[in-house]
Amino acid sequence: MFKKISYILIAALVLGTFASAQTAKIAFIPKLTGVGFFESGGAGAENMGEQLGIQVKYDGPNTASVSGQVQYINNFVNQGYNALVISSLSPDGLHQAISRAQDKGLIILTWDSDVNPQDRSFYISQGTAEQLGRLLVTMAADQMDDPTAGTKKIAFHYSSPTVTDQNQWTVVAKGIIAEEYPNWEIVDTIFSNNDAQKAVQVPTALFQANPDLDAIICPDANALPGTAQAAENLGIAGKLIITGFSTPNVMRPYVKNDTVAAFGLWDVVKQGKLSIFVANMLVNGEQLKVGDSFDVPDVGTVEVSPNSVQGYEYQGEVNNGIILLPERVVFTKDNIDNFDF
Amino acid sequence: MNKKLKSVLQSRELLVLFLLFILIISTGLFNSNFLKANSIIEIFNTSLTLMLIAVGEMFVIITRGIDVSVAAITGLSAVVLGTTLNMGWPIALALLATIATGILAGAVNAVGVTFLKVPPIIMTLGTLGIYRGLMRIIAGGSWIERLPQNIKNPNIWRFLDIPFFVWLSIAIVIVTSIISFKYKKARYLYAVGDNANGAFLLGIPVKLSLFSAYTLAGLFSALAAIVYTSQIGFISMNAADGFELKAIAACVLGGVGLMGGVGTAIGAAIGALFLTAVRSMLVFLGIPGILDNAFAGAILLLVVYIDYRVRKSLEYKQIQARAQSEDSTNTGVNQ
Repeated sequence: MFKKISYILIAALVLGTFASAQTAKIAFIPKLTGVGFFESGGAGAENMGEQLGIQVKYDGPNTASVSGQVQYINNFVNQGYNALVISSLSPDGLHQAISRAQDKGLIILTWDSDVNPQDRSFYISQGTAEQLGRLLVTMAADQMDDPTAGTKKIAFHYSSPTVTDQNQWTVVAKGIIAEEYPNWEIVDTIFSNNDAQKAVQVPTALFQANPDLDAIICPDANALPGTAQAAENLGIAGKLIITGFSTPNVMRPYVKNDTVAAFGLWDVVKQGKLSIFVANMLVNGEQLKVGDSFDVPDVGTVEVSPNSVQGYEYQGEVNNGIILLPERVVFTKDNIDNFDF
Repeated sequence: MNKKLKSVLQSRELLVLFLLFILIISTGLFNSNFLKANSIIEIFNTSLTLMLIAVGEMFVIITRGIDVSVAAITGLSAVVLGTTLNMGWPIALALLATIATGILAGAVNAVGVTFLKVPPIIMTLGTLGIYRGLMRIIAGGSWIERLPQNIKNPNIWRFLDIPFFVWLSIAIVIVTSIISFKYKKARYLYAVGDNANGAFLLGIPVKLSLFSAYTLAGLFSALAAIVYTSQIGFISMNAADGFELKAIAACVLGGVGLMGGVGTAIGAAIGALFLTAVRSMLVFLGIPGILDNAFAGAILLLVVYIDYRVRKSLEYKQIQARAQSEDSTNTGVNQ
């Protein structure tokens, strides 16, 4: 009798550990913590974790440093996580840490900012560089009476020339401008390195150096509110087009007082949710090929695209590619109150 | 050399101001928009956060110490300001809480340095981490956004076309300078920095002087936080990050001696103005943003080098002059 009970107990224990090994442990790593954009992505990720009944941890370095990210990756590997979803600061800088994680059997995905496609399974992308670069140009052009008439003076302002995603969008946007709006003259491209004070100072100088500027395009969460604040400080708000990418919460006052008429982004909360959903599928051993599509709660139907949509040559057979968020959002006075991130 | 010019060149403050003037004129040759009063006023306006932090840092450097937590205190005070405002506190109360935070944070450094005898760099490096950490805890890790308009309004107030904050900061710098020249107890800081043991033997309260230097640094960092919040309009978790080094650079540039005992608030303020102006000039000159840091660093080195050469040659001339006069007196005796 005792023997029987102990057998059952042992069986239950074995089953129990087996079952708990099945619940995925997934880490969701931002470029840096403490920034509204990443915090919101992290909140979406953890929310999806709750929905799926798995363990999701949002954490990362508190300054944007590659070595900080490497430390976090190594820590998560040592703590026995099954999958890491990373917004990468540097494709090459993370290569070794990622390889080590993969050797230990972890699944690597990226979100927001990619690594080399050989180093990860899927990149959960906010949109291709073409989509986002075009969005930047469209948002500026839509605010002009006639974008093709007369000379327009344009400037760009973002964090730094080494940030992969922002740089790609800007290159695409500049290409579109050269081709479709040859009357737009790009007078300057300025950088503020994620520093809020610089994000106000540099455009202040730019506005004064170029008093006849028509539009400034700022695809960076710090650069856009900084530029809007600079225009407000100089009392020129509303006299030129200020647009770009940032989060609705920080931009709300500038949209409400007409300094910024329209700016764009994607729903980063959904991006977090989608990332965790896909990571969990892979942890459970599912195989996804280019062209497969599936439904994700709160997000909608998504499709697996080849790496080539982001301009890569490498393409793995299964579980390798890019999953795009279904839509991007343009925020205006009319819809901004529907968003809270 | 004319005596007046000599004394101008000997004062680091005026030399840097002179070089700043030259830089402004030469930038103006390339882009005349730079010479408009508004551009100069905006550079002044942008430099205020750094200026206030640098003046605070000056008190500590004068005592032969160093405080690398000043920018973290600015960040922490800004978070206190933003959080209390968003909780619906009246602005006067929120400002008081901000200033109290700065004074308290400075006093913690002061206790560590004066009573626990922790070396200043270690103490303030420690509190740098603690204050940055506290910032995150208070703010819950994300930016402080949606600040009420009343904190942003003072930034738009202008008298005679010059922003209110510029007037206020100039007043603070001038009053601070006057106090540190005329008020006997303020001279204690210089005495302590020049020779702490000597000051002690003269009956100067060394500990109290050191204590007030670090506390003042905290107070000025909090004032900087108020200007920062008003001008930027949102508070990110890396607010004022890196300003500790810029503030030290501004002090050195403005003639505050790292060996203690020498320096003025006006000097620190001019140093801050110079550092800020360099960054804005690069935009006016259309220098590609990629090269910003390299250019700013190079110009800084150049200024310090010019200062060093001018000083050396003046010293040499003085020695020469002295040697000559001694020669002549000597020969006089012999004859």
